[in-house]
Amino acid sequence: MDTREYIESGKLENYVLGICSTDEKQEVECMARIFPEVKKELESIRLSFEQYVLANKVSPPASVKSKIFEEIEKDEKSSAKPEAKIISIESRPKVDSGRGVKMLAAACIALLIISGFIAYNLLQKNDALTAQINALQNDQQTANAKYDELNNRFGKMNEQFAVMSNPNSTHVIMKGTAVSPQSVASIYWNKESKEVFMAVNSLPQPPAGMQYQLWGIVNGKPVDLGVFDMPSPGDSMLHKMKPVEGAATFAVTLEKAGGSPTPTLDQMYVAGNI
Amino acid sequence: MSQNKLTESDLVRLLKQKDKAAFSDLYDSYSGALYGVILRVLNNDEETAQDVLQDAFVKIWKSFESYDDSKGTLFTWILNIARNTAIDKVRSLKRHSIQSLEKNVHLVDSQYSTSSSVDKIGLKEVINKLKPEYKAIIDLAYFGGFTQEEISEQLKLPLGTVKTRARTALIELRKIIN
Repeated sequence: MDTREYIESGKLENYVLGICSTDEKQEVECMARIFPEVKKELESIRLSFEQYVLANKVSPPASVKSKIFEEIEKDEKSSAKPEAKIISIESRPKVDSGRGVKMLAAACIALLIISGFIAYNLLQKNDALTAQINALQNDQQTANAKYDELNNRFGKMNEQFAVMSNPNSTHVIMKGTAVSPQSVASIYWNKESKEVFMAVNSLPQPPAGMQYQLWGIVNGKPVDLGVFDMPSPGDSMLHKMKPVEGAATFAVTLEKAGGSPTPTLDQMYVAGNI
Repeated sequence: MSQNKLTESDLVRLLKQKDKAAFSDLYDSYSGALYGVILRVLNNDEETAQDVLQDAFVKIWKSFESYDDSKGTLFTWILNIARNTAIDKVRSLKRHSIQSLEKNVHLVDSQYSTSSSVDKIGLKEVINKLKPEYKAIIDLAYFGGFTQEEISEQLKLPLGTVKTRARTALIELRKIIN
């Protein structure tokens, strides 16, 4: 936009001289608000014009000042009166202006409207995008959690695979006893490292307040290898139990929650020899 | 203004709080300039000009809350109030007519040299360097309150010339002042 053309149009001078129409007045103010160079020029014209006005001062008689103060004091006492309105620079018939300048001014107003519209739209879009970002962040958090869970599971499965494929591992199948003939559980026991892993293949859900406990029979004496909870359905994970050395038999009994120092033999569910 | 002990922003703040001492300062600083403008708008009718000056200052006092310093200086604002009050007065007295225009041209020209009550200021002489044709157009527009068309009609100048001359006049004025 060519602001030089606007500056040279004479509109700023007409504004300062107070001889432009209301439309032109708004236009000049709009232009000055948008273009710093227009504002600077307008201020400069105004300042020199005001110098001219100031150079033609005439001292009024002192009586005017006292009359003014009398009036404002009177006014304060009857403050119920509505305030006087400022009369703005009067409007005059619109003077025909150059086409280029008209377009520039129209563009100025249009720019204000458009920028307002754009700002509103951007605000709306911004809200929508913020909502989308929040949704995506939630999705990503869910996905991350799932990934972590799967990664964790994968790590565990790798460990289990290592346990099962270790040539030092002994696989012991514990079969159901008379108490629960359908039950079955497996042990992977590494005689070298003494580590014990157990998989629950099939055991009835223990009653409330009870837990299964694994025992290793070493030299005819039961050794506590820890209690365990029932795996959730579909979970075929190996549970790492306490290590043991020299076990001949593994067995699982139902005990009170937390385990017992000695096994309750009539509650033996599964057992298997090496 | 320089005579003012307060800064303009202090003065504005106090005036918004309806501080009468500040208003007195404002009057002392600017009444001469405003009276000068009003006198010229009113063809040197001193009695009416004093009434108008009084009306203008009462308006300034009452409506001071509406002054917005982001839109212009304090002086610009009160100057507009004074000029508008004076022009409204002229209209209500129906003295203002196209016929008086030529008299007006003569008046604004003669005022510089004849009025003894005009403050003696160095600037004034400097401003008198402005060519009469430029001075006339500034004075007719600002103090006469005529429209561009009216000025064009009376000075028998095309409207475009009136506009460019107003611009040239202010450019010349600026050169002289600076």
